[in-house]
Amino acid sequence: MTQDNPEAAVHEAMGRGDYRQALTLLMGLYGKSIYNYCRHMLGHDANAEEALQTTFAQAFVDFPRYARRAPLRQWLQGIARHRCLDMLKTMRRESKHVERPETTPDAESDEPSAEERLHFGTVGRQQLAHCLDQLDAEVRDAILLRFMEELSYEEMAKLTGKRAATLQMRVARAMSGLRKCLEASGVTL
Amino acid sequence: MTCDRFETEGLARFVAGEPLEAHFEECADCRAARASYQSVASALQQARGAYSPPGDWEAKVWARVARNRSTRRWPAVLGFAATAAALGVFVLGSLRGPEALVLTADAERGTGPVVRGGATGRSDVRSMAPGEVLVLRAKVPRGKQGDVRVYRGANELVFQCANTPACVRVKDGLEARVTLDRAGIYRAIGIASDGPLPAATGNLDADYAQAMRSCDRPQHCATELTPIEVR
Repeated sequence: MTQDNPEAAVHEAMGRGDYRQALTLLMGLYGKSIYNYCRHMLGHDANAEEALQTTFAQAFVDFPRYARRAPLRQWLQGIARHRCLDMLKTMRRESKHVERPETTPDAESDEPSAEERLHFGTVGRQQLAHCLDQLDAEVRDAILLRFMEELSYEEMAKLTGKRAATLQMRVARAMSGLRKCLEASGVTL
Repeated sequence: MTCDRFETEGLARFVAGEPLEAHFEECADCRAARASYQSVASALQQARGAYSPPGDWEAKVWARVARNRSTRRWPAVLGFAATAAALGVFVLGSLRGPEALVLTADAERGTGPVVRGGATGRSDVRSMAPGEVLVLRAKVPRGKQGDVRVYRGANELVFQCANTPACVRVKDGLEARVTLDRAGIYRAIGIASDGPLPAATGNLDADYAQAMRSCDRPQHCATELTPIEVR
């Protein structure tokens, strides 16, 4: 059933060679979550959009080679992850100190808005984004995969090529760093 | 004295989703630490929908897909050119000559303004209403035969120049008027060939690939507009 497995319709479209339909469905299913992952990884609206576009354009090219070893979501996540890490390398090359300007209208505000508080509880979006920025890229990647993408450590290990135990340590380190940073920003946890 | 066992022992188990031993329930410091980490985890989970991509991002992906197709064969062409140059062969002229196949689109919207767009870099026609007329103009390289095809989705051929009087020959190519009467995503391609044009297959990708295969210079034989949504 499509309702049980949202990817079933994509697989059907791919099966009959209708890659356009497959891409349309895939963008509808995962566009927003991939954008959020990229936005949190890169810390920048325009770069996140660039990564989002290249991820799906690459998926279209790679459809014939998709071997169903992983769900489409994870396959797509793998493409997005590589694009984001590549972009971070490029950004580092261009500037020793990567500037990651916030481009959202409320970027200047350190205090979470009432809407944000409602949405995130005590932790504001800007504060969370700021503290994620303080983490190393690989550590940030690990915590986003675990808690935002809700991948298991085994799934993360397949995606990243790292050992599950290593990833678990990275996530624990990231959690500790995030907690300290959020508390230093005045967030009561 | 505060207890830091949750930091040193409990956190690793917490992030692994493993059960915690009794101490972490009994110790007030550890309970507080655990609650803090639970808040961090919840904030991360809720941040999953914090940002939304710009509204036109899907159209940009399609434009990128179309661009990739047009340039896919260039590495091979450039590789050949480099080899030829190394052999001392002087290649006259540019491979990207002025005679590339060009497809452009205008949307006729009643008495309102005409919106120009297309694959040549002008602002794209991205959405239309049912019943509006899409005017397609294909500039076909000299000596080639050309066709314009419009698909609704990937597999429904709704228009083909070769089969309809709604398509006329103009000075340097073809001009077609297509009424888009139903909602959906429409995709238009222009194709050209030195010999007889390949028959429509009923699948846009296959038509495009067929045109590319029979061609020495990709940009002379197939081009695709940004998809147009009718709603």
